[in-house]
Amino acid sequence: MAEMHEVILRAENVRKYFPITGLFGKVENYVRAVDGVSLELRRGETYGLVGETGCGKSTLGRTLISLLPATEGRVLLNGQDITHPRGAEDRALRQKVQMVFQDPYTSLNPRKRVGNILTEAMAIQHIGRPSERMDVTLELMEKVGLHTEHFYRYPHELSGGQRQRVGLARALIVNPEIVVCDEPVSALDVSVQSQIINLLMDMQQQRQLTYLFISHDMSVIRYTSDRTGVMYLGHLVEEADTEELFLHPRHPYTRVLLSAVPAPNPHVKKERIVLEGDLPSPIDPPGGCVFHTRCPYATEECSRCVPEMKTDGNGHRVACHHAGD
Amino acid sequence: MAETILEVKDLVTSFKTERGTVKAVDGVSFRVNAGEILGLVGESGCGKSVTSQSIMRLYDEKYLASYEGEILFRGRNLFHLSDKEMQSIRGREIAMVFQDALSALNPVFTVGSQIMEALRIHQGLHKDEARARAVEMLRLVGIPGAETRVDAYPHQLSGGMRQRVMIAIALCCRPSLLIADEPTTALDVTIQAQIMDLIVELNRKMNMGVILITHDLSVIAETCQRVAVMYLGQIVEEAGVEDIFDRPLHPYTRGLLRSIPSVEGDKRERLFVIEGVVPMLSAIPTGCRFGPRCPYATERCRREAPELTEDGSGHRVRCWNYARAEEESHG
Amino acid sequence: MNDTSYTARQEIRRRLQKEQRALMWRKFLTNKLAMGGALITLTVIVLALLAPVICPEGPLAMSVFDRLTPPSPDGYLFGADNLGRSVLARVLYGARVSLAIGASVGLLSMIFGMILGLYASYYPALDNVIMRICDGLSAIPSTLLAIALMAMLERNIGNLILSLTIVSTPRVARVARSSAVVVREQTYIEAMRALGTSSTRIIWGHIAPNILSGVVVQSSYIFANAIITEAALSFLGVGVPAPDPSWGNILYDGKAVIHKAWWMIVYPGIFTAATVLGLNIFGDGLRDVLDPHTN
Repeated sequence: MAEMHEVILRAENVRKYFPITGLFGKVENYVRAVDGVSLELRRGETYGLVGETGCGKSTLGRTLISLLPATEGRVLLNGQDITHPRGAEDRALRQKVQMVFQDPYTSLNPRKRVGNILTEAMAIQHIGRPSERMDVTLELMEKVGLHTEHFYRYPHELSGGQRQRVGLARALIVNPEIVVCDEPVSALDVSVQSQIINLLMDMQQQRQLTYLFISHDMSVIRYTSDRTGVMYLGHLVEEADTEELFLHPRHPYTRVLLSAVPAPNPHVKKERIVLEGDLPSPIDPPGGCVFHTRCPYATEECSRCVPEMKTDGNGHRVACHHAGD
Repeated sequence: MAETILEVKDLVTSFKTERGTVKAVDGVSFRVNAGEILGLVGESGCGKSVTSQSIMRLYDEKYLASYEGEILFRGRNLFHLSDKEMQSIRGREIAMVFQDALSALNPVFTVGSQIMEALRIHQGLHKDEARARAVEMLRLVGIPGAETRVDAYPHQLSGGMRQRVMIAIALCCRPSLLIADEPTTALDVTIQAQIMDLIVELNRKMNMGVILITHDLSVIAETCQRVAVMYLGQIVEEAGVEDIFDRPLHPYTRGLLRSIPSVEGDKRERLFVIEGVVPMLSAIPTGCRFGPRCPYATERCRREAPELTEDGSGHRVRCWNYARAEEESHG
Repeated sequence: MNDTSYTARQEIRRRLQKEQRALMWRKFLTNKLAMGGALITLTVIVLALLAPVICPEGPLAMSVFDRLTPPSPDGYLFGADNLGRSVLARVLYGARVSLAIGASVGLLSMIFGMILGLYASYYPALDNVIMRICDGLSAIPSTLLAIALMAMLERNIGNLILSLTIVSTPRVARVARSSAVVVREQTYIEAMRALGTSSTRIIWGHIAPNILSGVVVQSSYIFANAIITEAALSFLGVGVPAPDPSWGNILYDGKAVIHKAWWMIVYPGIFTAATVLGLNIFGDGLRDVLDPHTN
């Protein structure tokens, strides 16, 4: 299993702050969307990133592939710094990292035919000769479950699931190494959701892809991801192998999340941990541990010191003063 | 047996479109008792929301839609009421909670004044009384600091709080039926859990009937007593919640249950997939509507449309072969 | 089952394109506004094109004895003006001038407005500069501004088009910018960026096609408006130089004899009003037709 641990992408203490400008364009404050996250993606794995609205998981996903420039910290792809790519470097990077978006209705240009969307992606990356592009496109379209006739269709003539297949094909057609999937099934119906999840898994196997799978849905994460990181208010609070995380969650927030997921079984009555209060504002996050204002186990120490990320022997990382208790 | 609040009999809702008339709901019947939560579950286009909007008669009957069948609300057929009588039932006796709490609240008024407006219209309360009731309602739905939050504007509240306000508005006139249309779909899972707990708690406290419309089977499993599964404008299966999860009879229900990922139990390697897509309402298949996607479909399924039949234990299913299909899937 | 041979593909392509075009046509043909507006406008255009056939004598032929002859079915259909020229001929030939000016102004301000709007929306630094200049230009009443510009320039049709374009461009630019700002935030633009697409390609290949419908609709209003403003300028004596006819010029000539010769005012007036109305209705209908989400 040596190849499982080959690191393909490494983020070191990445921060992404969005400035809030006042009346005269003066920067008054910052939204701390991502506030010091370090993590690794291993070649061929699916890394799940889970958290609630506003936790910064989508921003982190975009920062990791430099679609948004990091405010601080750096990102290494195959050992090379890709934090601030320029010009030709940027285009070369885009071939290696791709993205699948959440909303299949806004992620495709309504004025372009499906075929043009896909062949243009190849043209932008100078892949193949123009005469070959159509064949390559049709071949890939068939692999993701689309037919020749969809080549000439406009996005609004397709169903949600078919559009999401087009979105996936657009990401895959440039042969990337890493694909960031930003809530790729959240907008889809239940029966379509399972079709797309299976398709994503098939494509990963066929093409040795590394996925960063962003979702708010714990059960989807469980099915798709090998390792999972939990985010809260811009921080990575826990990270472990997915099964380990679901069986032995150590951070109080992870436990809250897991206890809130309803079970598709009327006989199971879950013991629910109720979370007090609202999510604090990322403009003015609490000091100490970011979760201490809502944590049922918080002590005085939690409001004073920022907990460090501690790793046990099996790569289960958690940022909590009381994780051992 | 509890009092029946609502009985829907053979409801057909059709819409006039450019390509002719389509039946978005085609022969739906069910009943809701006091103190009961009925789950209406299905994918987009199955007609679950159209059913609820038809109960409220929210569609423009002159130009857009036409209804057939009966909707008996405490014995009165809502389709026979005048627009004015219907107005007094909406909001007062049947209330609704929608998915998108932000757009359902008017951004220029405080949440308190929006609750008070409902109270003053329907119950003729005086301003001070209405305000006191508004605060009381906010407290009931678990909004901390209700005395001050009553003067807050919708944008000053979080998504979960806004949905609580929507529930407070819906419940302030003590309706006997609450229709919750995907009330938690836009919310995070921790908030969703709180809102669902609140709906269950209020349902018990106030002994009202609740129709919970959702696409999420897990939410159904945790909150409902009975479930109706809809597909393409029809109910394909209806039963008690434990019955439907333990012994799903319709192939569509079975497919749905097997295709959802879960945080509980063993992890399967691949998710089950229902092949194909939901057809358009303008191209409904002949015979059984689920036939083209059904792994058990026979020649008969392609020819004749099955009726909703009861299996003797109150479990209704619309399938020719449910007995055989059940056997096969177990054997 | 997925037959991808060359001829099969071409077959599918032909079939789908035909289907899509047929849908678009049906949408247009069933849109009463677009059809009505197009019909009125086309009638005026056809009449203008047929001017030499209908009035072989031309708009400049004078017949002193026929000065101010009232309209009659067997003489001058629209009457004769104060110099004894056929009002019908002048209105039809004038339509050529007025329509040409309107169309040129509509087209030119569409092009410039789109360039300004697109770049303003994409580059925040340019945004302030471009849009403040546009604000400044639109703060002055457009007719007044056009008069001022014409006063500085030599009086000919080219300069008339130029000044009307300067007056109208800010309106297109504002529409182009506001829709481009919306399109720029769409996920498919982010997806293009994630593919490493250059800014120029994003602006012209992806944002521009999506704002085009709004801009085209706006241009049809500009077209109509330019005809009115041209008429106003000619009426005030700073527009199309005499003796060339334009609807404004005919009105100008009729002003002096308005009590004796109503036909010199009414006929060009009707043509102007009908064209402007037709174009505006057409624009409203076009907006619905071009929106891919309706239907």
